[in-house]
Amino acid sequence: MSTLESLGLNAKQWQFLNDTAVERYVEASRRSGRELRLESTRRQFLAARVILARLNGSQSQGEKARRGILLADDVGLGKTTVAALVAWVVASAEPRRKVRILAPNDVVRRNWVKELGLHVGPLQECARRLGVHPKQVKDGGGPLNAGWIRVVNHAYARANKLHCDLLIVDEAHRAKGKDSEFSKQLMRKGKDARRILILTATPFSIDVENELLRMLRLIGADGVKGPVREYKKALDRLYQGTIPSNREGEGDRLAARAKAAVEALKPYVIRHGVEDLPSELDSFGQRDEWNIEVPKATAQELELILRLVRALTVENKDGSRSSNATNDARFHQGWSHYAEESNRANSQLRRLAEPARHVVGHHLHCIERLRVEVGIHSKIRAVAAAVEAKVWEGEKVVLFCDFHATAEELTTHLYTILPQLTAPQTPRRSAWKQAWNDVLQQPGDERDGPALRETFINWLCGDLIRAQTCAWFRPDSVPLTDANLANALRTNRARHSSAGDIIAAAGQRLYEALLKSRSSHEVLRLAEEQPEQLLSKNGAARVLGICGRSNESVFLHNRSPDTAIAIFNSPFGPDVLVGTDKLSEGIDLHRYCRCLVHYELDPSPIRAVQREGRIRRVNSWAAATGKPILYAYPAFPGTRDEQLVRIVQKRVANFSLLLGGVQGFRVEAAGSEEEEWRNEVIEAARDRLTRAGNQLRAQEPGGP
Amino acid sequence: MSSTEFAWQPLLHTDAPAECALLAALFTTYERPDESFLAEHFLPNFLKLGRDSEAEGKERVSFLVELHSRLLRLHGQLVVVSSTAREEPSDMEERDSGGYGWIGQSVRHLTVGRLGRAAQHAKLWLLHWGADADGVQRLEMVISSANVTRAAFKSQLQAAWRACLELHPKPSQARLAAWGVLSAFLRELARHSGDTEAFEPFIDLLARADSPEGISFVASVPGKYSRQDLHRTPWGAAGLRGIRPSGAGTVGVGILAPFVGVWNADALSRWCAAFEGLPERLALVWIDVMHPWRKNWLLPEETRNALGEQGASLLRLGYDGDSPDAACRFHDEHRPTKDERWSHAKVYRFRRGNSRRVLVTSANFSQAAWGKENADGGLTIENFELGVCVEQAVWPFDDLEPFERLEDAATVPTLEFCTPGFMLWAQAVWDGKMIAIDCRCEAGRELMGEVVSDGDSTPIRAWTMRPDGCRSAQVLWEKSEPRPLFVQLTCEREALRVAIFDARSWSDRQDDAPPGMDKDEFTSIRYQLLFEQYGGWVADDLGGEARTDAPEGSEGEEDGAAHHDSYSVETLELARAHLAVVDCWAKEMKDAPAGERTALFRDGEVLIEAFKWQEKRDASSGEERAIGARLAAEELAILLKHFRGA
Repeated sequence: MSTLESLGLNAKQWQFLNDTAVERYVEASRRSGRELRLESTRRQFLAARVILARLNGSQSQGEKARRGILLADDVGLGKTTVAALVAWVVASAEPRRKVRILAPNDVVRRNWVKELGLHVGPLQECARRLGVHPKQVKDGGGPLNAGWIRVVNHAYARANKLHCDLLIVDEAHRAKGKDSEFSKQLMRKGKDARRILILTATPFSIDVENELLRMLRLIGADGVKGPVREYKKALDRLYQGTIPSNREGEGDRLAARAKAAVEALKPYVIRHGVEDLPSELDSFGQRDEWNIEVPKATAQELELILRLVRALTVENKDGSRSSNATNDARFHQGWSHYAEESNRANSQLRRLAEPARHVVGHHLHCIERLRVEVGIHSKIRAVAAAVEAKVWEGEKVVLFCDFHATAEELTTHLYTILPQLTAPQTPRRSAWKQAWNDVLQQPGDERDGPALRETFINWLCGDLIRAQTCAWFRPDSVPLTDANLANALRTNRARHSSAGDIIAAAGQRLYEALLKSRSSHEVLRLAEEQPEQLLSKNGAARVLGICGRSNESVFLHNRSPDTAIAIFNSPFGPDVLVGTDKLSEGIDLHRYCRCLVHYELDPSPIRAVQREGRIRRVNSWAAATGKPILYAYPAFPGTRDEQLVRIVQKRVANFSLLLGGVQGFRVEAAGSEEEEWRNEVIEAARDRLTRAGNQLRAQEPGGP
Repeated sequence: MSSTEFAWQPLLHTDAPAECALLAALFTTYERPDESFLAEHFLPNFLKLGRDSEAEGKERVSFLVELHSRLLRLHGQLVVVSSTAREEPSDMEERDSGGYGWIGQSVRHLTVGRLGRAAQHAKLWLLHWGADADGVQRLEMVISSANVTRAAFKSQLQAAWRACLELHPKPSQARLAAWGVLSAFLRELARHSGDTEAFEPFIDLLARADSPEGISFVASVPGKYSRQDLHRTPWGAAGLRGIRPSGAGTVGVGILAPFVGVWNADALSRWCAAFEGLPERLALVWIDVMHPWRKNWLLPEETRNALGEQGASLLRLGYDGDSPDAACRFHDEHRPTKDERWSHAKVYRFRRGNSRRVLVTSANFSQAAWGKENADGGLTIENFELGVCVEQAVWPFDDLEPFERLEDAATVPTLEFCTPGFMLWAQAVWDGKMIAIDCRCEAGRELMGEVVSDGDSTPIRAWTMRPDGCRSAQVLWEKSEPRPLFVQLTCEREALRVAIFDARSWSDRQDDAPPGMDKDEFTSIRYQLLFEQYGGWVADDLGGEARTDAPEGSEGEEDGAAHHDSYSVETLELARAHLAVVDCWAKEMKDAPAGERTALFRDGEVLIEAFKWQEKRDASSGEERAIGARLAAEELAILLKHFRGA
């Protein structure tokens, strides 16, 4: 193997990442609008130092230069922060280098731009010699000059060259399959990058043969193929094999192969598991189960499911339609998709030949009658009631669905049971406008600044926000008047908690966040004429669904969810956010939310892990309030949903332990005996797997 | 035996593809079949029953229900024709039936003798197999030396010829004609049995099948025939002319048969002349006096002498007590020391030069079988016989040496014949209201009888003499329980048991349980077996507990995957299993030729009842569990209506 040309960096250029400098950086971060947590930052700095040393090579530390590193931290541990620090050092330290970041989608791309921006202040304060400037960060496609960090979508790789000094590939598992366009382009064009930093939380959940090994080859990891394949085989045996009698033996095999794989991967992979960082648990928040009882499916509900499944099966057999998913999990989780399918089947009834037409027609006729009798779906009803209770406790709740149709149905029902808040008649609306005018600063000197500010203040003065804000004011001896309203905004904290921001500061922060985002800026502009663009028609809906609908008051009115995410990540606005897995990657929902409901689960546990990472992050609301993060896995007893939940929940629990090596499954084919055996094998190997996993933690050269 | 060479294989099997179901069958036999053998061994083989008749407990009950259900499905389509009823002590009758007397209600048992004294000695099986995966039906034909008795399969070696032929959708007279005397033989058998209707479907099958190339049939039908008669239809020895090998010179014949009748020199010459042979070119394979088969192989001394005098050979099938396996075997795999069966085969080899033919037949070497020449040159034949002649077949006895001394051949001084019975023919049919009994009994003899049901008997009070010489009686029987099982006839010291064929409509019959079986248990097992038949769970595994896993091999909703301990939802899996039965039934109905749909319609009706029963059963452990069975019954009703309309 030829020796890599050094990046020409010097360890002194990242001295600000040393342990001794962490506290200063954390202090500086507070001043720049985002306070970092000391323990987490200490670990992130260590990871950044190790990555820089390995990419650059360090003679003093005996570290040879490597072509690339795979950062595989668990979701929520701040891979973006680590990579942003590395990017800033590479781009800013002399000689200034070119850095390109590939983000999976627009939301994550904007998040990267924001993350990079948040480091500008602290770096200017703590690493003056780097001389960082916000203009070094370039959003979207275009030329890449020395000293620039350009953030583009994965799609950019299709039509453009990837020449750069450092290529950061975020959510690299999106490069799925050897045939995926991004994967192909990455493998071909990635060679044009001098160094590569790959970020993924799920190294062993992806296709090892076509994805992980390709990535490792791309970053120049030699000698890993054999051990990685062997560990993958052990995982395959665990998840796909028949049940051997000896679980101890199987546990030994699994642990031994994990250990060998870790040994081989160690020079190229850095990974931290959230459960292995006790010192940081306070930053993330402790987790707890949120048990939502769903009543057992009634005979009528099951009959509805059975009749539609049967009707679709008969349709399929008739050959009039090719790929009806007859065992669609959505039939067990709501009636919305169910209604779509039964309506479709009804409209296509005439196309069927006899006797299929008669049989399907009979089932559809019975379905029509039963649907009226059954009413609201039991799971939706039960989950909505539990969510409502949390909202009354002052919490925000995020609910994830696998499908739009279910998300819509759930959102709509939540909307009907969560009454709109009515603002007190006093202080008057005009007084609120005046008060927010007093407290809200206009950052910058944009031409349309005053108009945008007025639009935002109008939104803050909507029924929902006024009612919310009023409720946060402490009962005071001094009665609330028009005159002291601004003062109240400046002295009271949001969300009934000492952990919450001062209301005025929270408003300011939200306003600035909206202005910084190009799409939110556009939303604010449009909202001057169309207030519903900002969020909900009259600003009073307490539920927001980000699931595709555009013609109802509880659904997002623009294509970009940045505004909704920013608002949900503030104390204001809707208390309940319902979304699909489009929201499960790369966004933060943790600042005011500690309650998450997996309403629908994807059979791949990766999705659930990604979702949970949205609220289990450094500086979470849970950490701030000292209350646990609540994850709910409601299951609909007596249906396939119950089985799906049971298995995914356990696999999510084992996710980190197996280096992300848990696998999806088909619920209708999963055997309970096998699943039990699987869990026993993992239990038998738990300690050894934990020890092996710890070997991938970032360690200084020469460290333990 | 296949078309050109001998092979050693069990007779009780079928060459039809595994997926084919039996639609009808005709079995002819000399002795009346014993019912326990028929029920426990013979029929299960062709009905492809899944249960073991020798099992005990619940498995045994399941066997009985499965047999009963299958016979109900094939009601009247299984026909057994045997020889004239024979004298048997009544206790023997009971022992033979083994409690299976009830199968006679569904299996049509006919005897020859309707027109007068006759012996049915042919051994013909015609099996009509339903459509295979490609929709092709088959006719399987077996011509052998085997009676439908336990002894024939347990104690005897048999010779047989078998062919499994694809059927054309429609019959053709040309195809029927190509079968030679076979169709005429069946018509005569029908006439002598008094039930031409029962035979028509089988004659129709011949008209739908191509007769295999290179084979021809030789048959005997009782009666007195002139030369002109035999010219038109060459029965008996007259038929041998048609199978003689071509060429010049005399035809030699080799005979393997365990029974040799009384022949004199003249009769031998005339018989040989039928195929252009001479007695001196006749070689009879025979055993020596030490041979263990000597109790069963019968050769009258008179015939031995005649053979000797005429220059015929007796080829010694010896028995060497020191090494019997080497000296006395039919085939490489035949081990006489371990196999106590004796040869009941009747095989004739005709040879002229290099032209050779082998006749596999039921006919012993007797004049009763081949016919006794009349003064006018015609023949008088006593037996129904049937054989099939195959061209160019090998003959395994070419290496045998003739007896050095004819005295060493095992012989009997004379042949002992059973006294001809007084009751020549009888039948009994119940239409749900009346039992009609017909019997041909020797004139002037007193005939008595009683109808026997489960544990009860009703005497026959009066007989009416019909113009054709048969006697008739009717017994009023309107109750369905107990059902009449058989008529016990007695004439002087003779006793004869006649099964009462149940001619009620299917709807009246379909809920009947085998006598003595608990009705609820019968219903339960019957329904479960029906589910199993259409791809549902194996009934034995059901036990008392309702199942939740999909039947093995059942089609999953998308990929067929199903685990016995699946996490999958009980109610859905239960429903899926039930609906899979509906799909299976509908597929069979869709694929079935029109002629095979009757049984499927009946099954469909019973399945609806079965699902209603299952619904109640499932509901006992939860209302939701009953949904699947209810949906299945609903769908079946829709499908039945559709298919009936179609």
